[in-house]
Amino acid sequence: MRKTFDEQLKQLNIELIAMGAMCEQVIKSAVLALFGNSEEERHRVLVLEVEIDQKERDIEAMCMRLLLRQQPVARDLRLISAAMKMISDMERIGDQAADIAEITKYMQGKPIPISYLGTMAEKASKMVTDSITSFVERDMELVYSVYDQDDAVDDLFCRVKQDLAVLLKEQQDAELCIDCLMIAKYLERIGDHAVNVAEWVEFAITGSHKKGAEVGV
Amino acid sequence: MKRKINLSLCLVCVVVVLLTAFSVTALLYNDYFEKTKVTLRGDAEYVATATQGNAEYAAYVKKVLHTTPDRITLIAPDGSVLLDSNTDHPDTLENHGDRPEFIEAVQSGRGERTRVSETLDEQTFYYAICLDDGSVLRIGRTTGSMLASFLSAMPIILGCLALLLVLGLLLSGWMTRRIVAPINDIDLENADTAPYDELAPLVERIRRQNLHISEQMEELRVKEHEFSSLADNMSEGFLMLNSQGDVLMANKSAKRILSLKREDVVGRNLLELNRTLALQQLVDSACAGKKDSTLLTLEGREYRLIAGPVAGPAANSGAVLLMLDVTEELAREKLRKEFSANVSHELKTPLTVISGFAELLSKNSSDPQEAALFAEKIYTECGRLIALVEDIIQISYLDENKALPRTEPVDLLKLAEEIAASLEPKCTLKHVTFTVRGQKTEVLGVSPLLHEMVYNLCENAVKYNVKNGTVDVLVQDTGQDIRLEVKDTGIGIPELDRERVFERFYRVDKSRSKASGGTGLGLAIVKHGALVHKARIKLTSKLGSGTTATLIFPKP
Repeated sequence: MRKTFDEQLKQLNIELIAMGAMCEQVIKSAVLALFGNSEEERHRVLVLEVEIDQKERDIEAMCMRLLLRQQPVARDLRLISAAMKMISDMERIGDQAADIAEITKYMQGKPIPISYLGTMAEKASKMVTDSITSFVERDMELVYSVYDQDDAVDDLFCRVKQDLAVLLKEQQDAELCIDCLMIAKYLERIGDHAVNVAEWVEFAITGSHKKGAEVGV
Repeated sequence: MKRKINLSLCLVCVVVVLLTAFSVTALLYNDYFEKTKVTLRGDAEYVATATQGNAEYAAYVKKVLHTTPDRITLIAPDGSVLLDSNTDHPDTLENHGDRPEFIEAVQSGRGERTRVSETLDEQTFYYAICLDDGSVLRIGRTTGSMLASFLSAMPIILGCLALLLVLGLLLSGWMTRRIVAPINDIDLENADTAPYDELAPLVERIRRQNLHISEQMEELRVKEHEFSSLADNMSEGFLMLNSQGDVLMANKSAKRILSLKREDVVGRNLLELNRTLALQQLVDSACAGKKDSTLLTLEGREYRLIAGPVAGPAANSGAVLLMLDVTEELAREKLRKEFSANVSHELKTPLTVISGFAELLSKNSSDPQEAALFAEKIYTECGRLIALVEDIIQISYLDENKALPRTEPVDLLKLAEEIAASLEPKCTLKHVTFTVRGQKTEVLGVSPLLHEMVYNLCENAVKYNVKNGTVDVLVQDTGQDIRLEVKDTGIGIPELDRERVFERFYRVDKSRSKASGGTGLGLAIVKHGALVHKARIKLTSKLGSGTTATLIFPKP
């Protein structure tokens, strides 16, 4: 009985990592679609987004089944409940990436007026990678580093906003500026979701949220 | 085994106690019953003798014996009860004429019978004597039956049994330990002597099997060691996965390629180690039983990944993943493609010019002056074409890496001076001063190839020089190696292009290529020639103020 349960938990773990891998790829492709204006990558994002949604449903069903049949306690329960929260955050990441890809279609390869948008995309992407890695390795240090990285992404978003405001005053291509703002916002949201994932990783490992704030479980 | 011995011993205890109790009871009871019979017979005789012909006496006896447990009955010859010690109203009793002891007494004077009560718990011994008047005197004594006495002794027996059991348990435990201890003490790893003869074949068998197993283990270990050291020394990455995607084996190269920092990769899922989706898809399809391969860029290098299913006893028992580094191969392939594209292009340009002028000539041959001009153009372009084809032949020759043609000592100073002489017209044309310095220095090499190399370097130095510039060729023997340095005051090479100028057909400035002439293969030939001579090329350049190219030959 316990053996099958352990097998199922291991499977859940692997499925979560697989979904994380998809999220990493979807951001990578979205960024490539943004900067390379690549139709192929754009298509890939949309395909991956659907796959991520499907994966979310699969994992959700898996968690429900585990909760119902095995009535897990303690660490197992934490892992499963954290998994259920993590997948919704990861699914959101997929959505944001798809949104970015959608916007790039309307930008028609116009040069991006914000030079450090690439840096921002890189940072957001790294946050997602780190949050997934922290789950794989059960690494608390990495969890904390994700929390820290979020500040940098938020700062970059503020900078993008200010610089775009200046550009708009200078009567630059307004539509492009707004598109850039949207993309920056989506990247910022991706960063937030990565933090959420990291928080759930922390919960799964320690049973507490964000640096020791106890949760009654 | 202990349990079994214990149980058997206890069972023996119980059986022995019960049997003993039963047989002792039976023996004692029979003895007791016989004695009862004898006493009763005596009593009956006394009573009978006293009662002979004395009805009053009988009533007296009855009165006396009324309190005894014995039952005294006087039965009339017809069987009706005259007197009974159990009741005051003998007439209520049934006729006793059919009792066997009565019939026996009537017939032979004495009769006796033992009767067991219906509940089996008591039995009565009757003794009957026929009196002179024909009536029968019967005395019955009731005792507990054998079963009853056995049952009455039961508590004692059970007590004994319990005591014995406790004792037996302790004793049997101790005995069992004693019996089993030597068996437990057998050292299974190196069993040589058996504690009991019965165990000798078993121990011998174990000993032989131990030997067999250790031999096989050793063999396996050696094989595994051989395999893993072979696999670890492969430059290709090698991964074995089970059907769930867990790593069964990974060699050093695989760990390096997938940049796995941890050592304990075995038993972990591949997804935990590397989350590249393309890799995952490849493994999935291999686990599903389909052979597949893909190109993957990891850490800036290109890898061809080949994944194949492993057919085992189960339908899909895993996959093998092979990772080949194809970075250089792909780069070479790219270079080759570029080369052929460039060759066709470079060949086409002069041909177009030739065909254009030839067409003009064929249509418009009236003006001899113009015709001469066209012919000259055609001649120049033909020269270019020939130079190009010669260069291509040279470079393909070098490419083929054939065994070196005859090598001989070549004096670099003399070579440089010859080249200086042959470049004289060009120098004059560009107003460039060409000087050759140094002492006679010989290297072992292929004379025409060396000539070509030095010529190309010098020609470039002149060609890309500025007006009134200088070209300085210095030949020297530094002691460690032999150097030929071509220094110019030319336009220089931008830093970005410095790596690429040795590529075929590569030109820093494409627009200048036609004006300065040349095939774009010169430096490529230098590079290949240097390779053939095991020489190094050092290129230092400053944009706008000149370039220094140095050929460094190893000392023979």
